[in-house]
Amino acid sequence: MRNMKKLIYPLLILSLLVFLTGCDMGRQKPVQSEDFALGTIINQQVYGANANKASEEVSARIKELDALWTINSPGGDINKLNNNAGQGYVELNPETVSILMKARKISDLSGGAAFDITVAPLVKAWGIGTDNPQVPADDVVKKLVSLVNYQDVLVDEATNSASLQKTGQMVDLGGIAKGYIGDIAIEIYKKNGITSAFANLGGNVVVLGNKPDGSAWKVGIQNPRGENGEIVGVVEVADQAVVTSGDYQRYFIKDGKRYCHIIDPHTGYPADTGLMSVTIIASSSTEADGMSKAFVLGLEKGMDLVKRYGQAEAIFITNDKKIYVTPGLQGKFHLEDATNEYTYIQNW
Amino acid sequence: MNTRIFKIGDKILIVSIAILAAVFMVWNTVGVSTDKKLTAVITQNGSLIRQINLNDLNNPEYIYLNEGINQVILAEKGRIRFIESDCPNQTCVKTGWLTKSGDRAVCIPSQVVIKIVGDNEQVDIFAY
Repeated sequence: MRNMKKLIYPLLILSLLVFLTGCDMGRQKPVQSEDFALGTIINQQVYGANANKASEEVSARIKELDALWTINSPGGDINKLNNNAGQGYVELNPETVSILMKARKISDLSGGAAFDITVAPLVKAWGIGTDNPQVPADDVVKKLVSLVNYQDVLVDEATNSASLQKTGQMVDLGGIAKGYIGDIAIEIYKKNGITSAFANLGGNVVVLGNKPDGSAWKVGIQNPRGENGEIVGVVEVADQAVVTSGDYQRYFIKDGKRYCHIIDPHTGYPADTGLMSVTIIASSSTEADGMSKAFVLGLEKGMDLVKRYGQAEAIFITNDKKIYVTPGLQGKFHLEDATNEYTYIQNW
Repeated sequence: MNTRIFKIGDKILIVSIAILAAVFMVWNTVGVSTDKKLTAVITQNGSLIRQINLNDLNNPEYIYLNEGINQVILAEKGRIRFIESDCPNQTCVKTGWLTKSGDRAVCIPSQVVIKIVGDNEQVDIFAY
């Protein structure tokens, strides 16, 4: 009996110590960084011994690619490609060649109906992303739509060059660059031995591994009609990208009509198919970014595209505030709607 | 026979350790969510400009920023916002008041971010 008592006191004291320290165990301090590039804000949170080096490397790479790919960046690759439209091949950075090829692959999935990087002349005509968005005349839209064709972007991998077939054609990587750079960030983290990190490129989220405590990352999905940061739900992810295309960013209202910033490549008009947002969850951040343009197709056709692609889960939010979620997200997506306005429709 | 194992002093000690442990457990789980400590962090281009405890603020405070773009931030007890900015699209001003942990206002042109930080954030990352 005395032995038992001797055993019980150390055990009690030990359990007390565990309670006292328990909440701080396994909690590492991450390296957090904030950059402004790609016309947006970029946040990183990186854990592990090389976290500082890895996040700095990612920041530097983002800035390089920003200069290369921003449409108005003088001397940049996209600027060069657009300026030489209809005049043959121009030599480009291998990374530019690679993203152009990726873009083509994603466009092929929808035959250019959802995602097409040659939509740039229309983006320009509508003044998307500028301080003066406008509604162009119908005949202007009609003329510019005839220039949109992703198959006119010819790439020669062997010579690291590309060309646009017709004069007036333009490429805008705005619908894929953040996604592509997300994948590059993950590669850089891995190369530095990092096993837990995230990068948030202006709302395009990419996570590596789980959180250091082993649990999944909780990614909040924006309420399309709420304030910035007000969510409708949370999706739990590991080693995946979460990318949303929504009508609530950079939209403008003219004569009482709301115009979103995502142009339908086939009509030349901002998409208006009954959706407020499409969120894609996939292991490839590049493809998640491209696939989120299923927004343009509306609920039925958009979901068909996601299923045809077969490597993504999706959350579609319709104008009537219904949230349609693919079966693979069961148990991973949770409705967190403080407004009580949204209906969650599972296994769509 | 069980009652004979421990003397009264032992029992008191065991019970008090158990109570202490329970108190810490409750404090650790509930305490975090009831802790309403609101700290606003203002950064420009990633560098810290000011950190303000919004709970301890009894008088409104104006913060003037004039590197590149002129801006005015107003901090009050429990809330903070951009009230003026010379930037073109005014996204930062339109964001309005930030009141809870995780709220954020961003001005891309001036690279100024106001963020409310805390341990009780509902999510790790916002996708938008």
